[in-house]
Order: sequence, then C-alpha cells, then structure tokens
Amino acid sequence: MESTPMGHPASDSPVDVIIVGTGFGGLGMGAKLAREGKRSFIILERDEEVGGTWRDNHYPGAACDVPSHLYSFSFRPNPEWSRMFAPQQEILDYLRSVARDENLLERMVFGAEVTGALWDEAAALWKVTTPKGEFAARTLVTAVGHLSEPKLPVIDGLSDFSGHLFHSAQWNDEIDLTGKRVGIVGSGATAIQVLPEVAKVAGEVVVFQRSAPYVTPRPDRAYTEEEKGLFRKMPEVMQELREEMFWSNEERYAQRRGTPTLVSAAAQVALDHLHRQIEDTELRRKLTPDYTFGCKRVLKSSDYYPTFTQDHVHLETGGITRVEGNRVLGRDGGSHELDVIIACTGFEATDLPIAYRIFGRDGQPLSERWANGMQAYATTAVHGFPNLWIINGPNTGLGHNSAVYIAEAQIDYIMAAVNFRDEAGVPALEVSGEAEDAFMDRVDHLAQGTVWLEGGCSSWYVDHRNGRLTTLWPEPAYTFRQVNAPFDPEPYLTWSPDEAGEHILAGVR
Amino acid sequence: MKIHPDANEGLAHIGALSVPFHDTLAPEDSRNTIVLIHGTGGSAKTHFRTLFPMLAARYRVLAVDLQTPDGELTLGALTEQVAGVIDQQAPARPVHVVGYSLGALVAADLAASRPESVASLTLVAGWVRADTQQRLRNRIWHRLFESDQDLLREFVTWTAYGHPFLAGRGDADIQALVDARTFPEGIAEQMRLNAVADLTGRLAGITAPSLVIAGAHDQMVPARQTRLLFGGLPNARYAVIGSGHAVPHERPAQLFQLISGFVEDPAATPADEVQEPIFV
Repeated sequence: MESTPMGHPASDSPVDVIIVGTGFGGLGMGAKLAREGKRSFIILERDEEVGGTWRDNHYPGAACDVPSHLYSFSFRPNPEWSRMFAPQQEILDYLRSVARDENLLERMVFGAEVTGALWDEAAALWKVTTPKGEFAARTLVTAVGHLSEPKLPVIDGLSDFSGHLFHSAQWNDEIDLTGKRVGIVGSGATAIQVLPEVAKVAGEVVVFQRSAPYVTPRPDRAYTEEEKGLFRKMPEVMQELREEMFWSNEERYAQRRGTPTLVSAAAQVALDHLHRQIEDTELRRKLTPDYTFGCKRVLKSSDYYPTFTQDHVHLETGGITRVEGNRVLGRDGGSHELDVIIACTGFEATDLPIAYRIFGRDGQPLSERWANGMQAYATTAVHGFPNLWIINGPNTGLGHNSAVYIAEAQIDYIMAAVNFRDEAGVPALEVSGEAEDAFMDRVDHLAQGTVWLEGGCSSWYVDHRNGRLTTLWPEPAYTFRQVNAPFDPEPYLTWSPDEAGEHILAGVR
Repeated sequence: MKIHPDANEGLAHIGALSVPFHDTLAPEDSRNTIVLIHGTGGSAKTHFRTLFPMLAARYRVLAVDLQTPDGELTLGALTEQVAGVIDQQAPARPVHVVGYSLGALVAADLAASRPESVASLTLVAGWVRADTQQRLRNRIWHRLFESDQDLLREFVTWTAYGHPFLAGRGDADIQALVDARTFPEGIAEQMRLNAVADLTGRLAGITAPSLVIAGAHDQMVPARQTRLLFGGLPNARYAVIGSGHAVPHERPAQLFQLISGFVEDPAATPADEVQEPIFV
C-alpha cells in the first residue's frame, strides 16, 4: 500500500477499530477513541477530505436547520459560530478543526471508498476492501450517514436532457448560472435553501413541486462580538444556550404526537408565515400543504416564499411527464425550455447503499438481512454481524432535534460495548435475534399514534416495504440517549469453543 | 377543541361548585394516574396544553380546572375541589400529584391533609409563604388590575417569563404574548390568596416522595423561595429548570422529562439531593 499516511498501520496488520466516514458520526467516534488512547484505529473516507454531508452539500444557501450551538459536539463547543444557524462552509470548517485538533488526520485514509467489508469468522476480524488496499480490524464502525447517497427523480428522458443536469449534493461549480434558465426539481429542505440563491443570478427559474412543504420562519441572526467574547470567557454561557435550544426543540416533539390542538397551532404558524409573505391567492393555494403538519419534515426559511413573488420565478405543481431535448413537459400540457436542471430530490434514506457492501456471519449481506426494512438493536447492533456497530442507521433520525446529540449517544454505547468485550476477554459480541426483534417491537409500539404513521403523507421517514417507521426515533431526543446510550451485555452472544472444539453461540454471561 | 383527543371532559360537584376536569381514563388503562393542578389565572388548557399530551402518551392524566367561589378564597377551598375530583374519578389507587405555582400549594396542602391519596408530589414554581419581594409585586398587580389592565398585561408578561426566554424573541412575539394575556374571573381573589397562603410548619408531615422544581429565572416566585419547599419536605429532591415562572410554557419538554423520570422511579434521585440536569 503506497499511500499509507504517516502513523496508521499498514494494511496487513489489523487495527482495533476501522471507522467508515468522516462526518459528525465518524469524527465523533474517532475523537472519543483518540481521547481514550487505548486502541489503534483508522478512518476510511471515500472522498479526499473530511466533512461528510457538510462537504458534499456545498450548494449555494446550504445551512443547517438546527442552531449551531446545539448542532456541534458537546465535548467541542465553538464560541466562534457567526450566526444562530451557521452556513455550510462554517460547519465544514468546524469539522475540519475537529479532525485536526483531535489528531485524527494522521489516521485517515482518503479515497478509500469501502467496496466490501467481510466478517472473517475464523480470525474474528472484519476484512475491508477499498481502492487504497485491504484493511482488517476487530471492530467495524460505519458512520456513513443516512443522507449521503443522492437520489435522482425517475423522469422519462431526464438522462438525455440536452442541458446540464446535476443533483444538489453534487453541485457543479463549473456551471455559471448567471442569466441561465434553471429548473429546480423538488421542494424539500434543499430546494428551499437553493431557490433564493439561484434566483439571485438566474435569468429564469422554474420550481417543479410535487407536494408543498410546511415552512416556518427561520429566526436566524448573527452573534455580536460581545456575545462571542463572552462565550470564549465563560463557556458555561454557551452550555446554557445549548440547553435552551435543545429543550425548545424537544417541545416540538409534542406536536408530532398527533395532538390536534398542538398540531393545528403549529400548522397555523406556518400558514400565517405563508400568508404574510405571499399575497397572490393562486400562489398561496399552490404553496399550501395538503397533509398533516409534521408528517414530512417541517422546513425553516424566511426567504423561500418571497422568492416566488419575483417575475422570473415560476412554480409548477402539475407534475412532469417527460424531458425532451432541453424541454421539460408538464402533465398539464405546459413546457419549459431550460439550460440547467438541479435535482433537489433528496437521498436514499430507507435503503442504505452501504448495506450492500457489508457481509456478516456466513457471508450474509446486510442488505439481505434488511430486505424488508432496516432494523438494529439499540439502533446500533445487528444480529448476524458480530463486532459491527452502525452510527446513523435505523431509527436515528429526528424530526425535531439535533442529529449530533443522537450520534454522541451511539458513540458512548459503542465505546462501552467495545470496552466490555475486551474486559470480558471475548473475541466478538453479537446481539441475539430475539433481542433485536424485541427492540423493534418496542420502537413500533412507541411509533403508534405519531403523525408520521397517521398523518396521511408519504415521506422518507417510513419504509414503504414494511410500513414501519425505520428512519426516525419516535420519541423525544432525550429518551434516545436514555434508551440507547447505556450498554447492557445481557442480549449479547459471543463465540466460545465447546467440547468438540467448534464455535457455538452462547450468552456472554 | 379538547386538550387531548383521549381526554373526557366532565364535572365534579363539590358543595355548590361544579368543577370541570379533563381525564384520559379509558377502560383497561392500568397506567399510573397523574393529577395536574394549574396556577393563578390559569386552567388545564392554558397551563398544560403541551405538558398534558406529552404525559398522556405514558400515563392516565387527570387535570382539574379550579373554581373560585364567592367570598374569601382559602387554600382549603381549592384543595377540597381537587380531592373531590380525585374521589370521583380516581379513588382506587393513590395518584401522582403535580401542582404548578398556586397549584403547587394546593398539591402540598392535599398531600398534608390526605396522605393516603398521594403516591408522589411534584411541586413546580411553588413557595411556602410569600416574602416581601413577592408581596410588593402582588401589590403592584392589584393596583394595575384596578387602574390599567393594558399596562398589567405588559407587567405580567415581563414578570411571568424568564429574561432569556423574552430576550430570545422578536418584538412581534412579545406583543403576541402581551395580547394573549387574559384576567379570568376569580384571578384577583387568587392573587389575594397568593399573598397570604402559608404552608409554614405543614411540610414536615408530608411523607410522599416529593420533587421540587424551581425556575432559575423566576421573577414571580424566585428560586430562593421555591427551594424552601425542598428545605421543609422530609422526602424531597430538588431540580432547577432554566426558565422563568412560566415553566410549563417555556420548558414543557424538560418538565415532562423530570416528572416522568420521577414518577417512574421516585428514588432515582435520593431524598435531600439536588438532581442535576440531564446531559445535553
């Protein structure tokens, strides 16, 4: 292996832990391992730099919906956040500083997309194949995110579009949009950030909307120098702010419990926002959602609606039949000649592509194990996949609070599990199938009565294959940590030699 | 609209009074019962609109709308209403009582006078006896109530919410809070009771496991007053929320987390200890 960066082991000597991904999940896991200092580890990254979704999604206007003092590591508060909702570049810079200051760069292998990860039972090792060579480790932690594989819309003729076509997460910086005729497909979290920026330069913009989102005001503002100075001098002030943001977000969970008084009050905030910003009744009608508030992701923007009042911005709600040459044909008979199409159509969330590349005990692909929808014990461990831990996997999304809080809870669980395994002197931990099923029954039970299952909409929160809420945690965020962060060895199995010298499964204790 | 889809609205007749309640009781529901008692000028709907549904996902919830009879209002008259609703709706097992503000004094009075009815006691932004700071505000309140209710709306908004909560909102949001302020019938009598109610000496006899919750930025009932409840209760733990007096409005989710954790395992935080906030 020629490109081994200084400090991390060559591919033929196994390390204790391989982490896949350098977003919040992978960097957080790496930082905890580095701080503990007990284990060797490497971090595999498919790209040439760190940042995960915050590296990929660099489209104009990209920013986070969760306030930055909350959307950051608890163990690395950042007094320098410029705004309540920091822009993408600043979040990416934060992640770069985490990688650098936690001494993670020397353990990273870039350009190392995982093409296969196979559990070698005899050696009790994960063997991981990448273009940068093969790596082996006792423990494999995937932190590839649930919003990392761009999903293009299925539209007849789209791939033959004669202009430029790209997905928002693969923004083509080569193309100058100035004066161009631009089509934006989608009206979700990305589109509402992209549209106002594109409309500033484009000659004409057409938004192709399938269903109107609920949009609430985004109370963004810059922090003053005095505030940032205070954050530096009294970090506890940042912590108070963080807690205020956390509990304020948690309150929004109550709206998702299907309580009509709260749902209608919250929906009214969004509808009032629409009425204040859009006067034209026809445009208002098109921008009014037709499903229960909270069923799909609730969006935040203060400049999305006003963009539609500009003469060169159009909203199409009739659906697209096909693309011919440089023309997009609508179901209502209309057509638009475009120079550029930007697909803001989201990500593969319920069918994680990494699952097709992970092979557990007896060579079983994780994708096969999850053929009817993904599931994991404590959201992190899967039966049949010893010593594999998944960050940002099933039931880790939140409709209302910070994903970093969730990842940190999972990281704490993984640290405790690995420590337990090593102290117990067993080669591997594997959760029992019964425990995994029981956990999922519990999640199913908690999901009953939530707006995601009963709100009458289709969203990426629910897996269409089994009708289960597989991407979201159905409870307040704080219970995610209570339920999923403490490690209990009870449901785990491990290998121990029986009298015949073969490997059998037995409870860890 | 009902406070919660599962809530049945009903009346309990206590003496000459009809006392409304909201009860999620359903057949076969064997879950713990939480009784909610609102504060001054409030009702189940105005004080517990967010907390009620959060609790209802895990518990049977029974909330009382306190009535103010003619004549001088006493703590005992309010306690009698809560006891009457419990006797009618939930007589079988002791209940978990949660009182907010004046409701906290009612809850403590109930636990002292009818210990057999109370499985646990949660007192939110309550106090033992109003001190001079509280009585000064109370006097200003009465003078504005008589002379200038528009100004009173602003004054109450200013005192009810924590300063970080108010400072974090725009002018339009503040105006909406001011405009939403109402002074329901009986509020002046309740305010008079706030100035004179006195639990001094009565807390030592309360054996129920208790949780005392204070708002760190409470200007109506400063935390220094609320923690005297912790000082007087023999089996109490103490928690602080980064909120003003309007705890159920400012931090309903954290209030839910504290109440739920306490009801699940009252001894999780041992008596006499301060409960640290959970990791965020």
